Amino acid sequence: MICASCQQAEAVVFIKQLSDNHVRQTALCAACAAQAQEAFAPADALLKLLAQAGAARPHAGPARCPGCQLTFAEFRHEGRFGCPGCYDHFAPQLRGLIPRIHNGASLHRGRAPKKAPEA
Amino acid sequence: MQLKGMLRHKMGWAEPKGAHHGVVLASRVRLARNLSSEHFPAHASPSALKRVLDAAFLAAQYGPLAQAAFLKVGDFAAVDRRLLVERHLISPLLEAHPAQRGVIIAADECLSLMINEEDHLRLAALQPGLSLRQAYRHAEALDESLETGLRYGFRSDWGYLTACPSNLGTGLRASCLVHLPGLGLTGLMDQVLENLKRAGLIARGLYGEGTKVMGDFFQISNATGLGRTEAEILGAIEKAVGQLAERELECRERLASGPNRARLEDTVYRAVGLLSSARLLSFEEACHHLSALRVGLTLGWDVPGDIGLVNELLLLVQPAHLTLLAEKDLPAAEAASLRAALVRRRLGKD
Repeated sequence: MICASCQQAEAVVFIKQLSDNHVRQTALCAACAAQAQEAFAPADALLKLLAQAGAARPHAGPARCPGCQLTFAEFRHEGRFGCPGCYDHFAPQLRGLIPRIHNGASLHRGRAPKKAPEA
Repeated sequence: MQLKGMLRHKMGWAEPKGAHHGVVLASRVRLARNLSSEHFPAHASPSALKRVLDAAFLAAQYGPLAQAAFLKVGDFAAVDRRLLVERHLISPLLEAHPAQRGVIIAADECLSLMINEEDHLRLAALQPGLSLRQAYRHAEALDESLETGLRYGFRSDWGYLTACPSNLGTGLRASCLVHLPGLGLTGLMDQVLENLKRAGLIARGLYGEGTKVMGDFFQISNATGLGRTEAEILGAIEKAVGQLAERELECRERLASGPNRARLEDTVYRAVGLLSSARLLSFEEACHHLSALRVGLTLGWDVPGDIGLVNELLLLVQPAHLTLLAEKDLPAAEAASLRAALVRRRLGKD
């Protein structure tokens, strides 16, 4: 089967996208699948949630993380932080957001490293 | 440098053993970890990525991966990197951005460590069948060994700090690779997917992130890792996948004993005929028919091969595996010919 995107290479990744509880299928070559993978990420539910949260929530504290210079607006756009220190710097904004990402959970209950740095 | 030698290795996790192995091919546990002092890889400079790679290689020299292969992804040609993706040892992200990325792989490929993916470290343990707790024990042992040499980003309230906040907490993603042709043939798949979603689980394809699904093979995993212990997360998935496996087997039995038996027999034996005789097989066609052959084998029908062989063939018929087998780039038609010959030979029909 030929790739549905480039119409040239052999399809090697078969995508069934779950949408409204229906499975839609397409076939892609390795290169187009890698591009599609990157395209999937910005569309995920997390970014939608971040956009909603950003519209409703005022920012607090200095604009940029002192460790990596990321702004909260950039985080909202990318859905990814720049460094572990972002969690300390943006903690006021995150306290409301994290339970929304984690089905209401806000506290870690699993294992801890033996030499954990405390925030 | 070529990874052709890997073609001769049997992957421990593809063996047909473990609970529910007729439905659950493998169980995988992934732990996401980051060094507290470095930017996450997407925001890191090449020199920072190198520091993380060097630190990880050094830390892994002791402990469960001491005898493993330490590979710098940037040292490998595109076909070798594709092979590593096809064997689920690196992600498409590492394949696309190989510079200063690494992977450490145990001989049986059941334990590995990806370096500088979305997070600095992605520990992965695989086991055949439904055996998440056993896989977790291996990942935990590696984690304990690495943390003696590395300082992880961690907060007592939010757990292990990850580039994406959806991985926060335990950093644990537990997943089972399941084969669900019975549910597909009986039209119950959409309902099952909805039930999984309600239970806080997600269905993905074989290659990790995204929603890619190949043939009737799904990857079922937890959606979040904060607010529950590792044991609670693993227990919830094992329970849900165990129930899913029983339902899948019920569907297969119902199809095999009811008025639709002739239809299922036709699907399975047509697949046997094609796999045994075809001279050209596309990757999709091979996966589709190997999936049907696997159904016949789990029902105990008189079909060639065994489940272990089908699991192995599902990996060997992938394009990069064939390219390395042929030791040259293959146009689609030549790949289809080699794929068909490989399947015929392994099924004893040539």
